[in-house]
Amino acid sequence: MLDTEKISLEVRNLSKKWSDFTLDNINISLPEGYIMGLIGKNGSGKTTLINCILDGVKKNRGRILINGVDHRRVAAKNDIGFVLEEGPFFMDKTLAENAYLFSRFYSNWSDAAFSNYLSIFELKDFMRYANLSKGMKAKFQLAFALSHKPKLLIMDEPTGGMDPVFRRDFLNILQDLVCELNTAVLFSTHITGDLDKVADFVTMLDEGKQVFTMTKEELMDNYPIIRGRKEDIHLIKEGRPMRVRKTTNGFETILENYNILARNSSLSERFTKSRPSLEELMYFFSEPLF
Amino acid sequence: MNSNLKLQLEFDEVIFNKNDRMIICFGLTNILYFIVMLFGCIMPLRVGLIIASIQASFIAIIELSLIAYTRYDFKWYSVARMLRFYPVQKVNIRISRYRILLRYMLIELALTACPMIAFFYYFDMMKFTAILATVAITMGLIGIIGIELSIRNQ
Repeated sequence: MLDTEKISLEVRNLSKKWSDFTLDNINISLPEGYIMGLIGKNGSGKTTLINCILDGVKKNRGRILINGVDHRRVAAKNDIGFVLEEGPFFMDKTLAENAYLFSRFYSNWSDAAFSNYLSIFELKDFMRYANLSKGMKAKFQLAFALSHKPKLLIMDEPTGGMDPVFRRDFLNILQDLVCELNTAVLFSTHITGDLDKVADFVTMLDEGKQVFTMTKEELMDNYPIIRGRKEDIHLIKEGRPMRVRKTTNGFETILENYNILARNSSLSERFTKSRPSLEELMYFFSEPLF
Repeated sequence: MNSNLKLQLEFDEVIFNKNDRMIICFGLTNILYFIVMLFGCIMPLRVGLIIASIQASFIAIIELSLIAYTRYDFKWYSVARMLRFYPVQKVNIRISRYRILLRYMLIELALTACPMIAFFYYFDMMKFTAILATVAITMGLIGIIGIELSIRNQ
């Protein structure tokens, strides 16, 4: 990230407490024109974080700025587009009625763009929101969000209900949006393959805590998967292995401090290294369930 | 019309016209209410007032549910919660809810009062007026408390 880049989303020391869950001290900085993926297990706090940013729930502590403006202000919300699992739309109204009711809030709204997106996404404006499938709801929300040209697009599991063909188109739309409008995109997903394709930054949450926020390249370079024989595991203790998975021939892990191994060539030769996928990183960075 | 007012009235309509079945239930409570008020007028004044205030409380709670209820996610006060996601400060949820409460109360009182005024004109106008006032005050008080609590908790 360059110093001159304008920050679209800035989250500082954000905390939100529920009776049984705490989102603790989250810090994120997303420049305009970049895509950030939000990953983590179920219940790790992704949706809570997104709802806090969208002002859907009140935060307990911290600051959230959208293009330098407090996220609760009308000017900030005007710049945000969102795609949520259900979406704040009236279930018993049609897509056209929902768009009519909510579009007036946005200063950049374009009816022509909305009609265009509906036809691209093969949605009819007389369809009732309640009757849409999960994937169609995501498409409608995306059409609604894109029709007011947001500077920041926030999405919670948008691809979960989409068919693979549309998912690929959807990722292309995101990239076009970033290239043409310089929109910043934050989206959470379990389908980490989507992030492998488009994300510039990745933030991982685990049990309400921020595990990391890094560029995808930093992650891949700093945390390769190390594989070795069982009897050699003590040799990498200094590198602080995070979570060790037993394999038929030995073990595999990632190291908190990979430099220790990288600097020592004789030690390094005893292990094989490979570039991890985001799914593998998510596994190794998560606390084991059992 | 002032655009803010127009917007608020539209959202009132969304909240008001949300569910036919609820409106039918609302109509049925009116019949029940009519019968109870009939008993209230026949019985001694004190008993009549107690019955009327219990019934009015019941009606007010139903009205508050109607004001709060939308089919969005079957949760209370969800219209207010929905609007938190949008760039709007124009819709004043408190004013909106009071306006709907007033609308319900007027419908409620008109539906029951008009036929009863004709019926009790020669019977006991004083008793009827006392019962009607009790109903209006009870409904109003519970409505105000309910709306204020909902605004505070949303």
